[in-house]
Amino acid sequence: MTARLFLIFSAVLSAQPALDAPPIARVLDREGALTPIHGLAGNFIPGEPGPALLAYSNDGVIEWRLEPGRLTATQAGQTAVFSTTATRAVFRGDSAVLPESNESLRLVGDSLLNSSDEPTTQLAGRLIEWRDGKLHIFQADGSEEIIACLHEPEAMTAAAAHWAHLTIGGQAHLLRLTAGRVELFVLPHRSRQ
Amino acid sequence: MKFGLLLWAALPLAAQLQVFTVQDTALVPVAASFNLGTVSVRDSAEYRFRAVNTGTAPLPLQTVAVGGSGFALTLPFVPLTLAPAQSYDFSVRFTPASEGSYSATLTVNSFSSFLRVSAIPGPVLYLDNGDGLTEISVASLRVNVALGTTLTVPLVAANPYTAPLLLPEISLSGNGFTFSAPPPGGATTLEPGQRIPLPVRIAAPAAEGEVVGVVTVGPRRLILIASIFRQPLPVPRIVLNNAAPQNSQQLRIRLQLAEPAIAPGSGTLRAVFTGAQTDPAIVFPDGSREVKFNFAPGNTEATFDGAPEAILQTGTTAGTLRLEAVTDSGTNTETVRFDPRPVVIEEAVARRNGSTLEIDLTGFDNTRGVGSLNFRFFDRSGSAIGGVISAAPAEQFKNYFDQSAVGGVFRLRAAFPVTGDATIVGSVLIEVANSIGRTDVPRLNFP
Repeated sequence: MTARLFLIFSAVLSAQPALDAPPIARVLDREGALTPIHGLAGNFIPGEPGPALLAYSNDGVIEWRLEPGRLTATQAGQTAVFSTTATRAVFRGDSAVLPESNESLRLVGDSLLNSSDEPTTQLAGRLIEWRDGKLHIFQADGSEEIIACLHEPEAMTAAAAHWAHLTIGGQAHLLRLTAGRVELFVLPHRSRQ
Repeated sequence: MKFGLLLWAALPLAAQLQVFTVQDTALVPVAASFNLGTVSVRDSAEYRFRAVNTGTAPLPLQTVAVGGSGFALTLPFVPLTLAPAQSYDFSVRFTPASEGSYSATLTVNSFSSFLRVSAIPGPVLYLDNGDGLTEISVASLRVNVALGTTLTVPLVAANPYTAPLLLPEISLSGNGFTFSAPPPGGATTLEPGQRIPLPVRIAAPAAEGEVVGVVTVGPRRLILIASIFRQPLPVPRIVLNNAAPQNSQQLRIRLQLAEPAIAPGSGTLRAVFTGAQTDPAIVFPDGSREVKFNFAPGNTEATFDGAPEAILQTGTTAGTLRLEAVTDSGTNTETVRFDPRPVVIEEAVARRNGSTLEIDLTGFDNTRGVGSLNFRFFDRSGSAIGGVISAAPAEQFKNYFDQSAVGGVFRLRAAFPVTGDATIVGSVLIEVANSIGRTDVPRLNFP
């Protein structure tokens, strides 16, 4: 059986570059520019800033973007567009809430539809709560992980499948959500070296 | 007749020289006979004068002198020439030995004035040293006060006479000057030998410089001159949250003083990295390699923009990280070495994609010199399939690190197209080596 198996090491021939800078997440920087974050946990390196957005979220399944005049949701390569004058949005799972107009939208197929359903409270598939100086992360399997976080986050968005972007005391943080490896890190601004 | 002579003596100068006393900011012409008022015995008074050339031609100033018991110029006079409208300021100090009337002759070139002053009984002023009293025999006292602090001058007033001493007022003027305990209000009588404490509290203002307060105890005046200086902040100790910091960490740094800060102080914490390569990940949260810190008065712990610690990423490159805490007093350093070490794999993932086996390795090589990469596949029962598949990716890694802007971090994605039944492959063992050593990645199972 094993004699019939041939393995060809073809990293060099792979369609994807064999070596690259590990991508971790994408976040809006303090100027609102969409910025890729490379590196490793606790060793973050912000990349070149991209377009300026009003709000952004990416939980690895749906990428939400709010830019002047429109809201988009991209899932599996398909993008749904919704015209809006909103300047703020809160994204949770497949739902977006536009607080200024009190609208709630849900991504259904390739459309963004008004919804009266209560949006899920989940972020990147987890429920995250802050109370009593701690962050409580409830994983998809219901397990709870707790880490110290003295101050309540001012903002929380999904930044990748296993990362959340938090603003705490005006400082950007990345929260690793991987089950069993939950940890809160400071996210430095783009290097001025 | 004497008065007439003095007047006559002043006349030739009237056109070109005029002498004034300086009272606060006002100039009062000095007459041929001039009453300077009263001075408390044991006190010392200073009178400021100004000689002005009011003419249109240069005026040689050859004589400035004062003659009389208890009177003296505060500074020796040196002849000079005053240009038109130019003036010369000088001071006369009077220190009476005892009660009574005193006089002196002030001479400025050919101008002279008969100065009169009365010495009256006044209290003795002391500084309370804790274990004794030191008499204050000067008219002004200079003290140094550190910025952001307060100083109490332990003043004591006493009646040295055998008769009661009436003090019409006890007061204090000057911004930032207060009595620590309120003095008796209104007129106060000190019995013979009686002492009253008059501690003066001086609160330093927010800026360096000089502040002046005046204590009045009956006829006695004491000028307190406080020089406000910035106390240099001692160099704080650097305290790391980790005794043996490594690459790829967020180092938490505290700065501590041995004693609480006396006054507000600030400094800079710097990270200086020396390695074979640069590493852009070694930064504080603001993206730079230096951060300001502050100490509040009474605190031993620094704050960084309000936070109790500074966070520094340690990067992924071998080298030496020197932390420098810099204040006006000097620099304290703490050095951390990141030794070259074998490749660190942070995350390894194996998956199937059709008939292709895919492996992602994410990690870092702080030497940036990965030399070999070996894969060994196993079937579901754990038996090896074929031999070791080796790759010598040194050149590929070198090209990557040469172009990369993320330090020693990498993600390697290897794809293995399989000819045959790929589902029999159950796991893989991977070895990554650099010049320091070999790293064995824990067995990866294919789902």
